Amino acid sequence: MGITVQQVIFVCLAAIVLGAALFVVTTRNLFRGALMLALAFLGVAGFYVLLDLGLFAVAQVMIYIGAISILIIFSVMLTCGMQAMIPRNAQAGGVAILAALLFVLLALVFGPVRLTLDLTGVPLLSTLFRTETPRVVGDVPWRYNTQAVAETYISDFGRALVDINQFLLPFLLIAFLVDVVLAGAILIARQRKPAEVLAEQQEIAAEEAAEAAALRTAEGAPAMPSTAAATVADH
Amino acid sequence: MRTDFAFVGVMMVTAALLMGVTLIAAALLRPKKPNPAKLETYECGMSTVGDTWVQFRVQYYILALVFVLFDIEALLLFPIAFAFNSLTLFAVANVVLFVLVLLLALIYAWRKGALDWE
Repeated sequence: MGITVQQVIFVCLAAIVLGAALFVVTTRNLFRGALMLALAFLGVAGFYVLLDLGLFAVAQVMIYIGAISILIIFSVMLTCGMQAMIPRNAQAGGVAILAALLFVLLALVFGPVRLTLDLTGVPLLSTLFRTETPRVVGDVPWRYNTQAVAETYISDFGRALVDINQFLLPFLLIAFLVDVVLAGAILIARQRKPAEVLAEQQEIAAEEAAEAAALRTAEGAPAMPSTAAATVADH
Repeated sequence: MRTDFAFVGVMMVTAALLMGVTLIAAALLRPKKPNPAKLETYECGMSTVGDTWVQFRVQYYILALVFVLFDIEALLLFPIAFAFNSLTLFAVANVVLFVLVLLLALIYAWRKGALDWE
């Protein structure tokens, strides 16, 4: 069996996605992690292209890179002192083991490995799993659809979205979900009223003036004229 | 379809190569004599004061969320527009409902002043 161009591209894309994803989970710099996450998303878009699903590749780029990554990068930039902070993760080892176990499980389920578990002789497990005959694990006879994607898959998808027997409910739920997310974000981070802002500014100015006064008394310097003090406070 | 995207792939590889070759060639050819003044962030020739990392306004996040709203809307309406000739009236009514519900979020954001930039 010769190696096709698609296989080469697939391996390259998989290497990019895996490398970027590994960087995301191992880096201490959250901002670089967010940028690498965008690269991993781009690789997944490449997988969609290989599957002949151009619409989903564009969706991946538009939603995951254009919106989700930007949201993550914004939240990193919005968080005060994010760059100076070195995040530590005490659960890294446990999660790595869990991820490895999950990988083994997926490989068993999806891969061609066939395991036979003979629990008939084991005293406790045979009653627990009720096995009189050896059980076969793995090598699941998945039915692969090897047919090419229909040319009309975009309009098929569009019809399915608004078909009440298919995806109409999720389609409308997406709209409500986005509504709720936006309302919540606005509730938390909305622009305050001018009066509130003014009161806060006055509070800050008063604090700064008090600080400057304390500094002057500590240094024993002669009191500055009030206008000069105000200019200092403004800066 | 795939051949169309091949052009995108060629473009991306070419862009990466252009940048990569330039940077690697520069790294190999240039003399390396670093000193503290050279390593400073360039800011119009002045020494920078304080941390470069400033906290951004939280309003950017809301604007990004409003962008997500229209992003999802555009993306989901696109395949429906593709199938527009074969849609039933019920389907079109549901599309209108979808747009109206999303419009509700925009109106809420507008009314709450989340779109005003001060």
